Amino acid sequence: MLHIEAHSLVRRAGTVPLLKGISLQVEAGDSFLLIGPTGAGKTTLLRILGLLDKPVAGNLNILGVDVTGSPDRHLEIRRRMAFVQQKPVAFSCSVLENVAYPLRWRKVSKDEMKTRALEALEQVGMSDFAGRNARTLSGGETQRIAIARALVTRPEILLLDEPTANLDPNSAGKIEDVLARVAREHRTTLVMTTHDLAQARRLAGTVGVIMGGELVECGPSNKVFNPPPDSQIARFIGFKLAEQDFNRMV
Amino acid sequence: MKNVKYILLSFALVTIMAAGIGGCDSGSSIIQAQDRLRIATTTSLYDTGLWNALEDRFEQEQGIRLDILYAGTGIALEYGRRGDVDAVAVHAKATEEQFIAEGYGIERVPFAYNYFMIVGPESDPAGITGLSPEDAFKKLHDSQAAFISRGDASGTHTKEKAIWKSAGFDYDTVATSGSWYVEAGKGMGPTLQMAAEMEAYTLADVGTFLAYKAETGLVPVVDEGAILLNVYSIIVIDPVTVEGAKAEKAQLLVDFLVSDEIQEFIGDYGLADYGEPLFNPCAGNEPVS
Amino acid sequence: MNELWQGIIRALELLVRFDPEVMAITFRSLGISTSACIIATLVCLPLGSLIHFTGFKGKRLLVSIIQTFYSLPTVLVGLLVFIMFSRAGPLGELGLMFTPTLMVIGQALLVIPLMLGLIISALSSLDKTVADTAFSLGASRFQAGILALKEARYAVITSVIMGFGRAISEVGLAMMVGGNIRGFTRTLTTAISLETSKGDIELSLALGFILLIISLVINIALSRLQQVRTSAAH
Repeated sequence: MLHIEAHSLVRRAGTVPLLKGISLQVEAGDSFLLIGPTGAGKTTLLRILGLLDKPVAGNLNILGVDVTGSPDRHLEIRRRMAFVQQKPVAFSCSVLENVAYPLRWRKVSKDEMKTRALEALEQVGMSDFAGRNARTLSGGETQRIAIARALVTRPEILLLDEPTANLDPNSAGKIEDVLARVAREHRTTLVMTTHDLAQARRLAGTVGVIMGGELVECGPSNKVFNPPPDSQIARFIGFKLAEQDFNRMV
Repeated sequence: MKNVKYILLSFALVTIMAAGIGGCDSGSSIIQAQDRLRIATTTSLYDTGLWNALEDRFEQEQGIRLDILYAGTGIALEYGRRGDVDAVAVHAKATEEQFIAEGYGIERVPFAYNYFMIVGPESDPAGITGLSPEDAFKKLHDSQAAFISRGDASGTHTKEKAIWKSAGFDYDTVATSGSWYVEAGKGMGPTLQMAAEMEAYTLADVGTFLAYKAETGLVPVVDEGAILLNVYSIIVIDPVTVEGAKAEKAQLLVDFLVSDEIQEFIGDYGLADYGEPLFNPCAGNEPVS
Repeated sequence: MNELWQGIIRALELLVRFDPEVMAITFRSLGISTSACIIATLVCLPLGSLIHFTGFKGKRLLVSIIQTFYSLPTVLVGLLVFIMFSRAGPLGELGLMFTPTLMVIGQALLVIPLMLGLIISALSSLDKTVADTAFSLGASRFQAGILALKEARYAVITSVIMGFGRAISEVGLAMMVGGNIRGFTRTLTTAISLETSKGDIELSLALGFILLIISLVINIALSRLQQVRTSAAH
């Protein structure tokens, strides 16, 4: 079953085109990784898929429902998804309360909220932080509780915007494990943007490459990562892989 | 801990609200607002403190809450026309009769009277002591001596205009003839204070003048003349013309004011403090000077 | 100078003795302005949230208009309320003229534009990500609105207190619509204006003191809130 079906999504900022007609499909349970250079439109696309922004043109179906019209009317659909921002923001309460917030909105009982929130914190390795004031956390710690906050809802679709960007390699690795496990055990559909091609290779079932607001390549991971040598993508991937090798050496 | 704070705060707020709206001193509540009797009174009656003295007695004797609004005659009558008060107590005979002729008031019941006086600085720079009111005004105009007018369509102002007319002047010309003529736009008490500050003349009723005499240091310079008669009347607002006017309750106030007991009280008012009474009773009859 | 000194002494006397009329006037002022403030808050919290989160054409114009009404002269608002609620006016049936109730309504109307504008401003200064996060985690618009108000709580409380400050210190509306009736609608500000014009400076000063103390308390509360706010941001 298709969890996400998008046709010709267009988005503009004033007259500047951000997305020039993106079409894609995401199967249930798939891990779809979006890669591309900075400014290509990854976050813009992800926000539309996450029902945070409305496309100027195009169609969008999520979980079988046409949500093209007004994103904020589809509360039921939104509640089956969860989104982690690129620079996540913690609410001004304790870490535990932060993570439990989405359950509050879903009117879950207090006991269940606490249990599930603690579970989610456990998953991201932040159990010790439960009582802390969430505003005092570091960037990396905030990112992890934001992920816990998303996981706590047991979403059918999980959207993440560069979720390991602020994390050290150790924590990043742990998070990747969590995401992989969640995808595997709960058949959660993952849609994720990343700068880290190695990560994309590790996690992706399907890869989408965005350049200049267009989806220039989309397909199974192994196919995308072995592109025709003279293509634009090859240059991008080659350059990026070289950069990452370079960073590892230094 | 936080919850306790919120509870205490809400409790305090509710108490303040209740106390405030309840009007903790008078024990009345909004619900009873409809039963209050409202009267608009001229400032010269109010500034003498006569109304304060009468208010408590009336409220106790009749068990009706009396609300007294302080306003110049013009504004008081406007409140009456609008039905925002149930009675008016003012002192401009011609205006009152007009008001009744227009159907807003039932009848005019005089309940006290005194006299107006021209008062001024002790030195009397314009030299008008002992003149008739009309001659005095003429001299003030000709010598351009500083004069403070009420300028607010009050009973006092109406009387002032009548004197100018009687002296042969056109009022509008006088009012704009120079900086010597000042329109205060205030109540009688404040106008007296202004005259004292500016060492000017003004027209005042004897009641308010005596009440403020000590502070202002002004002296009466002209206090004789038929035209100076100052009659205070109460008019019940006609419920036929003005919807919602509580004429029955207002009538109780009228009866109260012309009762023997209160007429005596009015006649004695101010005797102790100022050495002479501020008002003369007239029990519903138009006094002849 | 002597007058001022005498005034101060008499004022302190009245305060220390808990002079009943002074106390009554004070509580009445507090009660009326607090009630007006509460009504305004109940209106402005949801309305401000709604306006902030809804995008519509002319939103900026609306916010501009609201801000223009911040410092509308109180006598003007008083006049409008008077005309509306006078017995001769459209709402005259209610018989509310010259009652504390009407003063509450009038002050609420006076304060609502200010509070509304400040609350919208408070919400605008929130990180946009907060609302996005809420929506993307399944909050309804109502729930996201409540979260936003909570996150901006210090700025919101500041708005409420500023509204209260405007209410308790205004005199034009209270005078026109209340009538300054002794024992019923006389408040701190109207009493001061009456006593001053009658020449009882000492009583005016006493009442003025109380008003000053109230203003001080308000200002201290506001600055404490500001401190908490700046430290919470770090």
